[in-house]
Amino acid sequence: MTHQLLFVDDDAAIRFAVERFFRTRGYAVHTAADVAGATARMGADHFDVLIVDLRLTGTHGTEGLDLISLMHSISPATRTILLTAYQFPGLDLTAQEQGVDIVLQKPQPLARLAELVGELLSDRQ
Amino acid sequence: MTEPSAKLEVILQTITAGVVAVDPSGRVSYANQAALRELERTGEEVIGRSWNSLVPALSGTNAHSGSVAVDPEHRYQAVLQATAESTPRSVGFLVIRARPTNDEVDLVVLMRGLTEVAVLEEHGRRRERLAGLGRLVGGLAHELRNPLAAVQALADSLLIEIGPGDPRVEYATRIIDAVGRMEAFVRAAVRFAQPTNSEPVRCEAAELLTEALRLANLGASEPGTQWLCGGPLYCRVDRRQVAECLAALLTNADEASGRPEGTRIRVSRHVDSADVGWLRFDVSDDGPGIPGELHFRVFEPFYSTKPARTGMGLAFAQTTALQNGGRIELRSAPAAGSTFTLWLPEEAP
Repeated sequence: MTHQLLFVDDDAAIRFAVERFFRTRGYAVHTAADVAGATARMGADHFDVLIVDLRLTGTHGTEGLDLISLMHSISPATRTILLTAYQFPGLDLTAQEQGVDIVLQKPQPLARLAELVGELLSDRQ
Repeated sequence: MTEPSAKLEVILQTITAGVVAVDPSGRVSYANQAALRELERTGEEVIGRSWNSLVPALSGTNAHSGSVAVDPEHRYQAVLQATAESTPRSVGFLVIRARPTNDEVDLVVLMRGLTEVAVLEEHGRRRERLAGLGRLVGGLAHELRNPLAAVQALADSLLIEIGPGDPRVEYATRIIDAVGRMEAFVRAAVRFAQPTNSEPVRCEAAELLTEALRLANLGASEPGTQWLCGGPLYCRVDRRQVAECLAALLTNADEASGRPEGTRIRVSRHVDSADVGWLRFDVSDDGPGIPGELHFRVFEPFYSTKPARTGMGLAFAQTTALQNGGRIELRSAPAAGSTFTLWLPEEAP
């Protein structure tokens, strides 16, 4: 079975690289650049994994957490990874309370990201 | 030296602030009575001596002008202790570049003994400066990590697509290595500029040292420790932060010595003039020593003489010490090794 992965980041270069990387590893990869794009995707398809950047609009927002909450309400079984370029105090706790599976500091080797996605999927099964 | 006029000399000897003149080679060329009192030394002991050998440089004075840029005005404080027996006291310094300078007067240093209130005010000002720096570095870290993540991801993808054996693998690998180094700098800068909140708990000196030695991970060769105190010593600090601070001093000493047995630790206790007890950790190395003109630079972020180091260890250690109510001082001279002293306020047993 091909696993469905949704990757949300406002940086086009990262989307490009992540999409190609996971595709070569046999995933069906969908990407979105912002909250509107991600929400539309979530409504239309089922995803096994959601990987989302914490801050999407270039403002000091935490849109990534909102998207993870939304995803959990639509599809509780979807596993989630929150990426962040900046670890602020209390983020881990907030993320944990919102049911985020993994909080990951940017930058990360894609091999590491793939490893974690693999672990999340095998845990689920 | 050119003697001050009689009138000027009366004024200088009357005022309660210490006044010291330092010549371009870093030697003291004049000190008034108040300065000698603060230094607990006689005129003969002071005139002609290197200023940096008299006063430990906290973030300090660079009396050897010319080699390193000195702010026109530089304010700092240090704990002075003339001999091991005398009582350590906090003294504030204002270092002013003379205008014009001449052969005998390059820097003028004003000294004043600090009350506990003044010490706290200075710590408060430093915390405010650090908070501003923290916001700046936090913003920079965020803006840098996003493009770094993109570069890393692109190089990773490239590596997968070209496959092993392709001569371009080395290009991708080197890009990934460079990203790793940049990320290490960003992480170190964030750690320095945005210390996490302290959670002070009662800590025992020996426990702090054990934890620091574990974190420094110096291998089988633990440095010799001398305990100059009877019974356990306590302080109220953030255990993890202070252990990391001591570990940074141990790592620094280990690297300066270049041999495992070169590092020595001494733990002792002192009571200052305000009857405040202090724990004192002296971490000494038998390395090449640090010339006076670098005494304040070693605490600057990104300053390192060692290749492939972030140069954040001592900067982080100093910030952490201040955050926990303590401070770090340096005594060092070329060919004589260095001693970094961590002072922490004592808590009653």
